[in-house]
Amino acid sequence: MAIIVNLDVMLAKRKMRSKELAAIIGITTANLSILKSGKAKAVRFSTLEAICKALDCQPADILEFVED
Amino acid sequence: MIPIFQTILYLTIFSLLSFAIYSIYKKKGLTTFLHGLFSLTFWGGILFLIIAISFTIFTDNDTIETSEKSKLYANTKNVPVRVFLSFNADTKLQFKPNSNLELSSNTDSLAMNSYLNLKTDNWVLSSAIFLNTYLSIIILIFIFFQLKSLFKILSTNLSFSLQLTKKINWIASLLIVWQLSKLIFSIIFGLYYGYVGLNKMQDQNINLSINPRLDIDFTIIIFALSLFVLGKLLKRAHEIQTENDLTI
Repeated sequence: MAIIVNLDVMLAKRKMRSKELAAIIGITTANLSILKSGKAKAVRFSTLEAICKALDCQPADILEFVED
Repeated sequence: MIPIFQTILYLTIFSLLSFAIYSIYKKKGLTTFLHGLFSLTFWGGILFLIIAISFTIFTDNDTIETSEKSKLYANTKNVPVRVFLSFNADTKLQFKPNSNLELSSNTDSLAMNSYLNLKTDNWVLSSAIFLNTYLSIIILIFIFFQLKSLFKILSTNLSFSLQLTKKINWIASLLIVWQLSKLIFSIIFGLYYGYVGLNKMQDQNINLSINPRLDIDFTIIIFALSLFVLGKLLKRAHEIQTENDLTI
């Protein structure tokens, strides 16, 4: 995928665990790990909003475009 | 005298129907019911196949004499024919109505599709009859097996999956192969005999002729083609479902 999810980096910067983030934004850890591993086909704006709110960051900090 | 077999048959059909109607209103009831029904038909088909084969192997002429007057036929080695009965113009059908109803008919001919139990020494024809019979039974058993496993999948998990598409494609192709094999075999039978009649009818007012017929059911072929489309639709639904599942 050309879009890379840098959620790990942001989580490390904020010193937050995936479990905590999943609990805050209200999705299951399984779904969060799908998002982190890059298997996800799409992200809902509501989820993105919740992640940005929880990690206090911009969408650009989480998502990155890389040419294949 | 009460017709006991008829009563049992009617009771069975009635209870099956009422159970089906009852299971519609239960969660997962209908799929479980259909799974049970098709496993029953599947094992029944296997039993029928075993009985038919053992009739062929262990008996002469495929018959068992149960008593002096009655014989038990293995109703398998059949060739599709069209039976045509025609009456003379002055012969009228006589009705025996149960009530005081007046019944009459202008019909002067009757045509019906039937099967003829045929025996022959020609090895091509006899092997064609043999294949036609047992291929149909085996294909039907396969179809019932696929239906059984399809409804088992649905009764455990009512959702779209690639397995369903595979099973439905199998059923559709088996139905088409079944009908095509019946068509091919009936063409072969038609090449070997043209017209079957009787030397002398007891009643000269009736003419009987039996002709070979093409044994093919177009409704089943159209149904099978629609099943292919349904399989494609289910595949698309599966794709959409996975996409939806992977949207976080």
